[in-house]
Amino acid sequence: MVWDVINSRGQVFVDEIKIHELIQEILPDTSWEIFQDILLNLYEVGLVRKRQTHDERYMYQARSKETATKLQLLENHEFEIYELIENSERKGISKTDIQKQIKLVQSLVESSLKNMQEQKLIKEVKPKTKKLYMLFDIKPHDESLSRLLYTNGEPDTFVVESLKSICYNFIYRRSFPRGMDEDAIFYPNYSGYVTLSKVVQCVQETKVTEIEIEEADIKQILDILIFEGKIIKKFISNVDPNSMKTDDNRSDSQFVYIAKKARNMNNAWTQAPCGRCPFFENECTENGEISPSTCIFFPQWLNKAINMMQNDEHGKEKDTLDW
Amino acid sequence: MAQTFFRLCCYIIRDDFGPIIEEVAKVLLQKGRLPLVSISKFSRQSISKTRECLFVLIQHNLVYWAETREGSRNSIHYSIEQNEVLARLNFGIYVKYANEWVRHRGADEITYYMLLTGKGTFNGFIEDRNISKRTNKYKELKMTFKKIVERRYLSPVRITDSKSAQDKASEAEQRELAKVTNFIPTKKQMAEVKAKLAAVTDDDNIATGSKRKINFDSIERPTKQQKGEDPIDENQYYRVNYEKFNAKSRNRQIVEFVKTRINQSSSIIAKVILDIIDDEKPNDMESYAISAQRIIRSVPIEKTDLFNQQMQSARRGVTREILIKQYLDYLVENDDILRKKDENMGGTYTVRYHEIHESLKKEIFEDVIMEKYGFKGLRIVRLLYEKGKLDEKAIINLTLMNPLEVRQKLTELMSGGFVQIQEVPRSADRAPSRTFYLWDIDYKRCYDVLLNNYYHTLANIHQVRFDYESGASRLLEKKEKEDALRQLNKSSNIQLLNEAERKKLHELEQILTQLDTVQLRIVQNIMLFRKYK
Ligand code: SF4
Repeated sequence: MVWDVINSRGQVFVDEIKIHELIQEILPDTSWEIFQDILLNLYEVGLVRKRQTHDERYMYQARSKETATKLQLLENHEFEIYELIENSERKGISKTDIQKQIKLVQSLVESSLKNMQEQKLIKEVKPKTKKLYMLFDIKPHDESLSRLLYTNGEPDTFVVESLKSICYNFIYRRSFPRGMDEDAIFYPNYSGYVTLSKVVQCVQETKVTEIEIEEADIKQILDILIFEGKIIKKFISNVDPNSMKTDDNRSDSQFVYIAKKARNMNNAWTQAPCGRCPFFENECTENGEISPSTCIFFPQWLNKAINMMQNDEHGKEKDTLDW
Repeated sequence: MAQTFFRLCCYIIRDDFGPIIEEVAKVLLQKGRLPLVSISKFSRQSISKTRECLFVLIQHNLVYWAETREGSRNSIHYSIEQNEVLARLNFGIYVKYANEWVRHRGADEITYYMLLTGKGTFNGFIEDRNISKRTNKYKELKMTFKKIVERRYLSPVRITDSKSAQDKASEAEQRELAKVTNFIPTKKQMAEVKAKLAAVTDDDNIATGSKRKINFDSIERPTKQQKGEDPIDENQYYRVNYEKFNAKSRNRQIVEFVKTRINQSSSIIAKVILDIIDDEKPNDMESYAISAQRIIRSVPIEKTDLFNQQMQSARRGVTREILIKQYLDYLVENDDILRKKDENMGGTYTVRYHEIHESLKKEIFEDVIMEKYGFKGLRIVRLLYEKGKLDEKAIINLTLMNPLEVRQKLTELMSGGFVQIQEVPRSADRAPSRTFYLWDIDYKRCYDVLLNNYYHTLANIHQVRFDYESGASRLLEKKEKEDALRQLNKSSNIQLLNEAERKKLHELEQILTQLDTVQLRIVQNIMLFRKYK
């Protein structure tokens, strides 16, 4: 349960207080002590890693269940080495550094590394000349950045933007029924919305790029679209209720993406000049040098609005304030 | 926060009652409960003037008074109710939609009159309008008035209503204590009395409910009803029931929200549901449940075509009933608008006010972010909202933005008060180079920032308006004079203003309307963020 909560946060460290809060949402009377016991337990069986903060608190991150089973079989010193390598993240760590920090004989370190390599827990990488070790399923630093989305180690905003619009258009087309009213929607329980793999397929078909397109890259693009409020992600259980399949491993194929129509909400603040004014927070005060009485934006804005009003009066009906 | 709020309250009062009353209100806003003498001293007004001002404020439900006994003297303290001051902002909305909500002509006139006088009677209204009792207009207004009272858009007032709730409570406490003992009360006695009072206050709430009912009973005397006459006590004082109006405004916003989020058909259904429920506590978490059957019966049949056009069903040619049910289920599944309570009578549904509020606030806040900081700003904000504390590197990688841009947006967002930075030093010496800088966002806090921005903007708008008005005060006076003369002589030939002045006046009017328009929008947002209190 606790592990589920931590795991749901993804590959990041989560503050123990935060986790406790989340747990309490589900089980309101989980005391701090019991919670700490559980965490300790999880840590001992290798399901979480922890890191101490400056103010004596701990942050936790989940490890996968498979990794945990493998870690169970390791010797103590091997586990220590594993943690070292794990903490080196994408940079990797060299054998000599491990030795220095662990203070073990070289042969022992070597045999441990070999053992773990065989178990596919860690791997050897050689970016230049020095041999480095890092966790098996992590891409080394240089390769770690997606080749598609990054150039020279920085996100390639051009590529990102064009992929974004391809994905959005694709999702949009499949989010609303065609040949009906422009505001039409699909009936509830409709399950034909697009999934991640469909989007990937679509992007591949467009052949926008020669670089191989990975699911992870597209997922990231979709996440960005979600952040921008252009699409939403929704869980649809298309598991047949009659078949006995449980849906506790919600794979990505069961998540669908649905576009939101671009309509703006009625946020009144930025419609008024103050909402866009650079002086709003600090400079503009009641009797200050910049103040509503000396404001240059209001007259401009009023003039514009009145001109528009007049045009409207000549043109069609006046745009009433009907929201 | 407090300073902006205070400034806005003062402006509102100045706008409605002029600068002298503003002075008096200012003292009360700043210093809390005071007796008359002190108010007059602080506001630098004569006692009689101060008293007049207080009367006005009491009449308009802004100021409450309480009598306390100090030795042999009785002294009266006055205090101002901030929420009442702020509620005045909503008046424009109340009047604007009164007719639509009460569904009777003339409702807006009555509402307007009641708002203008603070507390009023039906007779007062009729006299004010100069309406003869024999006209049809009179009959119609009387009908409307009855409807308004029945649906609780107005509530009856008593003299004691001007005492503040707090004062009432402490008064009752004193009374009870006096009953129990003549000496200084013991702790136990105190506690007993308090408990007893708590029970009484609860009763009192119910009693106020039934008090209204009693009022209705006394109004609707059976003899009169037999005669078929309008059962209104024409001299009973009423005031506008803000809660009811606010609940209606909330419903309006919900319907609009559904319309933008989904489509018109869904919003029609949402409106039907809300109209059936027609409750009056604007900050309930959830409505009571109504059955699908009832909803289906109330949805206008002529909308079926539109409904069909706006939803693709699983099969062709579904019945109207199934179609509406599909919409209902859609509203349950999407955006947390309805909740299906049980399967009784074809399913019963409740409206999830709380969830809708939260999503409305979120949408509006995110819209602000988007307008002010662009899509990229929104990206960062939503990322932080979903993932919690992150350092700059992670933000760059997860938003796939240019590092420079990320930093720039973050600084902007921070100076807007929307995101915070937290330092997590890795070593004891707290060296900056060995410190994590984690960015974080708290939506609740953002809402407060936004609400305060709304207050601030509104105060600015008021100030701008005052400037325009006082800049043209001579013109306005002249115009008033002209109007008065015209009224007096019943002729429209009198012209005090020349062509240029007329044009100027027109311009001024346009400016003021424009300011009012934007103010109305802001007020609606404020209502939402204040939970329609
Ligand atoms: S300078 Fe003008 S636009 Fe800017 S905050 Fe002040 S009043 Fe508003």
